[in-house]
Amino acid sequence: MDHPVNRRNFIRNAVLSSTAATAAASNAATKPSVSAKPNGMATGKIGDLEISRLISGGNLISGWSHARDLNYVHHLMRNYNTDEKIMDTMELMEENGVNTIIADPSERPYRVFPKYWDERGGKMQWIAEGHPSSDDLKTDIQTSIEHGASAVYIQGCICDVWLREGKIDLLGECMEIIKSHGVPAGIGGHMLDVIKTSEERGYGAEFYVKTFHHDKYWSATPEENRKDFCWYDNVHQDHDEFHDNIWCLNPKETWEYMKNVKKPWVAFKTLAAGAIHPKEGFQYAFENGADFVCVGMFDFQVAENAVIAKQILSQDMKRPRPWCA
Amino acid sequence: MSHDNVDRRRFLKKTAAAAGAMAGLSLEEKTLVANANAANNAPAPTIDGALPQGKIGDVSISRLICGGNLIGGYAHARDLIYVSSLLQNYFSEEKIFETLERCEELGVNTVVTNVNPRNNDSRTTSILSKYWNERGGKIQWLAQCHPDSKDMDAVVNIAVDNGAAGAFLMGGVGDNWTKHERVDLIGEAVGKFKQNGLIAGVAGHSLQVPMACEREGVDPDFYVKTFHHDQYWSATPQEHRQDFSVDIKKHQDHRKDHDNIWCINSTETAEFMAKVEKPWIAYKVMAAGAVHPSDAFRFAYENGADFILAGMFDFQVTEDVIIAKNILSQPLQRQRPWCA
Repeated sequence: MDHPVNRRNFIRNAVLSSTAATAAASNAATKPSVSAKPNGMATGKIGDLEISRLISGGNLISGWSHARDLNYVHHLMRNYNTDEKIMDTMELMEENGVNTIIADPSERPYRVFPKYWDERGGKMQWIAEGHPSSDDLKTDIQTSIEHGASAVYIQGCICDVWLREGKIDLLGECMEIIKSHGVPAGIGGHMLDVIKTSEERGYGAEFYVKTFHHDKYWSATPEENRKDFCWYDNVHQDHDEFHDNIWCLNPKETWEYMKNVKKPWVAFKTLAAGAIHPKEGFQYAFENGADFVCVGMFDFQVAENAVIAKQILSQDMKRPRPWCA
Repeated sequence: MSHDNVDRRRFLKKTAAAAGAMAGLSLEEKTLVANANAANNAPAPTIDGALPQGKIGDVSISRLICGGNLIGGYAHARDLIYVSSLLQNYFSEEKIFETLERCEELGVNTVVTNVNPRNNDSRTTSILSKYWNERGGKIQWLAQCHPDSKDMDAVVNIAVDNGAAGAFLMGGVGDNWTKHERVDLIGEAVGKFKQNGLIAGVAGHSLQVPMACEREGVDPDFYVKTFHHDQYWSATPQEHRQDFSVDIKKHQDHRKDHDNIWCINSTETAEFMAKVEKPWIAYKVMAAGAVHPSDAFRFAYENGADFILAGMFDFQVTEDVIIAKNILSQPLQRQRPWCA
């Protein structure tokens, strides 16, 4: 138990208060677009956290692959990414300038992160996906922070479902709970309406984590068949319907809306879970306004992804949205 | 036998653990798990008894054969760019050996892997050589051959010199030569295999391949023909399927082929093969991962296959063998007589 507590204290000492964090995020929009570390990876700030613009996704640990109807792939991922392999991969990421990972609050991250930090001396920051239940908003968030989370956002599925069920105002309370622990608070979503509602009602998110990818890949659901909240209904056997194959139903509407949102935006599922090459997926996300890209990576992909991100970020981009982090 | 019982216990324990873990999953994860489970509503199988075998020539072959992608490393994962790389990284030499050993422990006595002299690819032969000589493995090898039409001896020599028990013309080559009306080349390849003492086969993704061979009197010892149903999400809609298109082009149009279908006419295939009195090894029976083995194996055996060729990870071998044994131990609704 000592290790998580030490980690928590370290983070508590390292972050600003919630008010200051909000101000920092807001001011960041007027700062120069990128800063770069000696390893060449550009970073941005959410609150007081300095975060690489390329963030690791958490499926490295949780093993969900979203492989359409190929049911074996997540078993393969879990067999490949042993605890040792996960730690090797995180080391490789840090060597390549990726300093942050987004992962869910569950037994495996709770076990692996302290081991990585304490036994391997890793410095990887963890942004926790918050999975609170509507009748207990506190416990999940608190547990993540006790296990060393540097920031927490409410995971996209939770926010989408609360939107669908008319419970989305709970997000305001969640933001307060997260901030009360002294870490940045965010809101995630597959549905753009989650972000819109959050902005309109002022829930106080300090950053957003919103899916973003184009739809020019073979397995994408044809436009005429895309349905809001499809992720929470049964998958279809009809080839033209949803089957764990698309996460941003309206990319154009998304970047047009996000252009006017002055908070850091972490874009996720930027490769449509493996169907878009990172060269294309990263360029599309950064050019259309994302401040950070969150992407799942295997060890054998880390170096290439980091090189691609660094190259894109070092060039002049046709980017209509100012950097907000 | 005690070994089998232990494996069975582990298998059931894993299933129970997975069910218990559902409570802690996110909505996204629950959807995925429910989706995976939906494909597996067959009764719990048992592992008692040996895995049945059939004979091709003098070679006894388990009715479940191990596919070669564990060595070849190609996943056929539709538009998912990373899966083949993941597979190649997962299958270290040591992992391949472990998987082959596991296959043998459970009665899978044959593996199919490819040889293509033009690629100068010696991975198949070096791995099998090490497995046999350094690990004491006994698994039999059916060589999937990609011959050069102008020098068929090269590939045959590799197969013979490296200990193949049999050889067959790979499906892509069978398709190509059939499409271009060069069935004579197929016959020549079969003749070369036989002259070298190998049981000789012909593979095809297109039903036109065995049809042409039967029509023109090519006399292989066995056929290797793709066979799977089309009741899976990623299958090309029927109206867009084209003969001889497998492994040729990856379209961006969602409704056209993209490394996603290998048997475009399963009903016609079963009907034709019912009249063919040679052993039939069915391959791509799970449509490269989209059809659960409990569904796919039954479909293949009931519709006439004598053997099933299935790619397997180490963590799938036990379950696949249990499923195959279970299906083969029950009365099958099978019209075609066993031809091996």
